[in-house]
Amino acid sequence: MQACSLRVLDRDASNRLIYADVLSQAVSGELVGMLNYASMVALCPSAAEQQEAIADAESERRHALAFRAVARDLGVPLVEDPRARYWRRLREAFQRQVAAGDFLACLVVQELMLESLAVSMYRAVAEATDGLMARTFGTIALDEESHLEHAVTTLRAACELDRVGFETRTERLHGEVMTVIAEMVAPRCSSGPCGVCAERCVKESLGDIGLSAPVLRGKALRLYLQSLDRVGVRGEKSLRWVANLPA
Amino acid sequence: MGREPARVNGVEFALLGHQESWPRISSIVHALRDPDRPRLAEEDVRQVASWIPPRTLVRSRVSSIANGRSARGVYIETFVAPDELEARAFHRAIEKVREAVTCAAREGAQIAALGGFTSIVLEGRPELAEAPEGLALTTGNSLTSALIVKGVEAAAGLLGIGLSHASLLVVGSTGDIGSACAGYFATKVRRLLLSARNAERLRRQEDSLRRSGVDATASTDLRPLLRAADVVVCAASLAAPALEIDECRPGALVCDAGYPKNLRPANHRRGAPHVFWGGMGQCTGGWESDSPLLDIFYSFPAARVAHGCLLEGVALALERRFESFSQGRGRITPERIEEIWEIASRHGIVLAPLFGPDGLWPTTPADPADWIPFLA
Repeated sequence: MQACSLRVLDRDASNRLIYADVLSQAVSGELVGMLNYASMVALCPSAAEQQEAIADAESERRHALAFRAVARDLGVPLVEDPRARYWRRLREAFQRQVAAGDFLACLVVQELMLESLAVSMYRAVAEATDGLMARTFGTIALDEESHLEHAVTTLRAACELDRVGFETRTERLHGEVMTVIAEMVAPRCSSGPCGVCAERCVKESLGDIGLSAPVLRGKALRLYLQSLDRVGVRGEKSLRWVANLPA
Repeated sequence: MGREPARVNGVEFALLGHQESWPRISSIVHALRDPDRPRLAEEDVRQVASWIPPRTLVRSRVSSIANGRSARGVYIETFVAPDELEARAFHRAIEKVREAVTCAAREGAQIAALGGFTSIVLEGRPELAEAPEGLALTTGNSLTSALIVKGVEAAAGLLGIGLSHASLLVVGSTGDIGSACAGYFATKVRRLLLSARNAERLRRQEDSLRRSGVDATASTDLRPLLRAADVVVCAASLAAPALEIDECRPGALVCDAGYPKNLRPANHRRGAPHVFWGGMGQCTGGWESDSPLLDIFYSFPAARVAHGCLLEGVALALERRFESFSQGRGRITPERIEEIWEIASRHGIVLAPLFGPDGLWPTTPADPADWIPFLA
C-alpha cells in the first residue's frame, strides 16, 4: 500500500515538472505576444486601433500573470524567457514587419499564426488537465480566439481587395514564421534544448499528462489552415505552403 | 463566427474524394513539396496529413463532345485518411465530409459529387451533410452503377461469357450500388447470387427479387457463392481490401468496383479469374487542369479516367442539371441507370478502357470511342 502511494507521489511530482514546462512555454509565448502588440502601437492607422493594441498587450500580460498563478498553485518554478531560441526567432520575425511598417503583416504573424498556435495548444491542455490549470488554459484559449476572430475579419477584407497580393505577402510570412513554429512543434527537438524546458525536452513526456507532440502539431496546423481558409486564401496555395514545412 | 469569404465565380462542379493509401497521400505531399526540400518519411506524412482540413487541390475545365460545351470545377481532397474509413473513426470522417461540402459551397459550386467513402453520408443518413443553399449534392452512385454494369456487359462480351446463361454474384448487394447492380442484372442473368453483411436486409432483398420471379440466392457466407459465380461484381463498402481472388472460380469475370478496392492484391496465375476495376469512366471531350496532381492520384493506365461517382458531377454540370441525381439508398433503378448513361454519353463520358491489377486488358479497343457502338 505504501509503495503504491509512493509511486503515485512520484508520478504527481513528475507530472508537476511537465506542467511547469508547459506553463513556461505558455508564459514565454504570452510575453512575446505582449511585446508584439506593444510594438504594433506605432503602426496603428488610428487612435482607436492604437488603444486596441495597447489593450491587447495588456491582455497578453494578464494571461502571463494567470499562468504564473497556476505555477504558484502547483508549487513549480517557471522559466520565463521570450528570448529563448524559438521565441526569439519569432519575435525577430515580427520586428522585421514592424521595421518595414507593415501593419497587415504584423496582424498575420501575431493574430493569425501565433494565435492559431496558442488557441490550439491551450484548448488541448485544457482538455487534458483539470482544476485551476484546465480552467486557466480554457479561459485564455477563449480570449485568444477573439484575437484570431479579429484577424480573420480584418484580413478577409484585405484579401478580398487584392487576393493575389495578399497571398504573396502571406506566403512570405509563412516562410519566415511558420517554419520556426513547425520546428518548435515538431515531435522531436533535433537541435538541442529550446531554453524554456527546465530539464529534458518536455515533448518526450507529454504522453504522461495525456498530450502528444504529433497531435498538438496536427491541431496547430489544422487551425492555422482553417483560419487561412476563412480569410479567403485558396486552399491549394496554403496546402503547398504547409507541404514545404520541415518535418 | 462571421460571414464566410465571398464565393468564387465560375466554378460549377466540385468533386469530393479521398485517397485509398498512405503512399498515394505521400506522393501528393511530395508533388507539392519543392524538390530541394528533404524527403519526408511516410510516418511524418501520416502525422500531419490527417489533420489537414479539406481543400481544393486542382481546378479543371471539362469539355463536352456536344456543342463545345464546357464546365469548370474543382477537385476537393477531403483528407479522410485510409485508417479513418474504419467504423471507429466514422465521426471524424463525417466531420471532414461536412467541411468539404462547405469548401465546395465556398468555391461557388452548384453541384458536388461525393466520391467513394464520402457518399455514405448521403446514402444512409443525409441529415449528416446538409447542402448549403445553391449547392446540390449527389453520391454519384448512379453513374458508377451504370459504368459497372456496362463494363460487365462489355467484358463478358470480350470473354465470350453469355450473361443470360451465367450466375452473377453481387458482393455488397444491399448497398446503394450493389442493389442497383442486382436490380439491373435481375432479368438479364440466369441466376442472381447476393451477399452482404446485414442478414435481415439481405433476406428482404432476396424475398423481393424472388417475388418478381428472379432466381435469387442470398447468403452472408460469401465463399460458396464465389465458387458458384461466373461473374462477380464487388461493390462492398470496405475500409480495406478483404476478399481473396483465389476464392473465385477459375476463368470467372470479376469486376471490383470498390473505392477502396474489395479484392486483396494477388499474383497473376494461369486460369485465374479475369479482373477489372469497375465503375471507371473516361472523358473523351477533354479535361484540362491547372496542376499535374490529378495525374498523380488518378494514375490509371489510360488518360482522363476517373471514378464514375465523380464523373456524375461532371456529367450533370455539362448537362446543366444541378440536382441531387443520386441520394439515399436503393433508389437507383435500371431506368435511372440508363438515364445517367445517356446524359454522360451525350457529353463524351464513356466507359473507361478495361483495366485491372495487371494494367489494361489486352483486348480493350485502343480508342475509347470504339466502346460507344459496342455498348449501344
